[in-house]
Amino acid sequence: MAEYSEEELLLLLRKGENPDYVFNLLVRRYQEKIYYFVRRMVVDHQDADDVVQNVFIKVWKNLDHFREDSKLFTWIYRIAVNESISFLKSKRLRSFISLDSLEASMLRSINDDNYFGGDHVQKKLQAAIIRLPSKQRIVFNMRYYDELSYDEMSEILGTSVGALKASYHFAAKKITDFVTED
Amino acid sequence: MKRDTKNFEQAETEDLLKSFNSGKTGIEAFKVPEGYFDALPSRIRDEISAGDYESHGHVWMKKQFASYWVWIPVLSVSLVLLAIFTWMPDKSKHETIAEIEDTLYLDQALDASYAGEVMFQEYTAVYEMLENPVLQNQEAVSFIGTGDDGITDEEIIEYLNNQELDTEVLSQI
Repeated sequence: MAEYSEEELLLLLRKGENPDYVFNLLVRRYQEKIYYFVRRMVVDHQDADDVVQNVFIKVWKNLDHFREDSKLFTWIYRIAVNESISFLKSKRLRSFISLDSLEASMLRSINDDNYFGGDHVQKKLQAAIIRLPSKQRIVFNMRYYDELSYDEMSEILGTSVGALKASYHFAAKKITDFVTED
Repeated sequence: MKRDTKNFEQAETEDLLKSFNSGKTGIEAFKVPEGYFDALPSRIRDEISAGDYESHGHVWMKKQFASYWVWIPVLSVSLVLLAIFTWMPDKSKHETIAEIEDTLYLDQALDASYAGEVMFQEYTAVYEMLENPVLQNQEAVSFIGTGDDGITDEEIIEYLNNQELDTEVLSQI
């Protein structure tokens, strides 16, 4: 299947012909980036699969309302951020009921997960990232793994570039301290 | 061998930490099952077609909240809270009566203080009179009072007679 650029996809969407086909193209274009962002937030593959499906279902339902005042990818990414945060909040509540902390359950996922291919150093890195506050985790993952510019991150998160830079700096410092402690 | 592994991990850690600020992209450690991304678009399309997300809420809620280990504690807490609010004594009626009684006492207190305020004003008027002996006749009469505890016209005339003042002349003033 041919890969379409964002502009071509938008053109097809505006035409309104074959919406299912166009939506299929959209999913194929962005699914990996969205999946891995979500996966780094929720850690468990099954949870990530559920959240990603919710993200694209929301994209489908709200495609008519997309006003093109931002890039299509920025818009989808923002939905992914919100869905991930909602999921983690809900999971934290369920963890409270079962007297298990969310972080502990996510750390267990990394250690027991068949779908984690990293070595000991990578496990330690992920453990450090899990311990960050949600906002810092999001900023760190977006910058370090997705290579988004601060301007793009600012558009997605609605936070100033300065605040994002500070957030990334503190996140990197905390991770460094955790990884280097004996 | 162990030392080699430790040295290798140390070097890897150092490279990793350097990469945070060097603009280098992180290595993706998470994996997916084989064929996952090939099948994902059609699974999403099936989910949209089935409309399950509308009737059951989010997909992940469908799977997670089906567990009764979640609903049993939630229901228990709800029942306890309901019981507490149902059997809590109604203080509102007693509070209203207490408020009314307090108000009554308050009114009486206010009346007493008002009476005191009037007395204070009278003393003030006397002081001013002493400071300013030349008063209008009307002011002097109003202060003295014309009721049962006040001075009558006959008493004034008697006083003036005692002072050997010509009442006829005074009546013309």
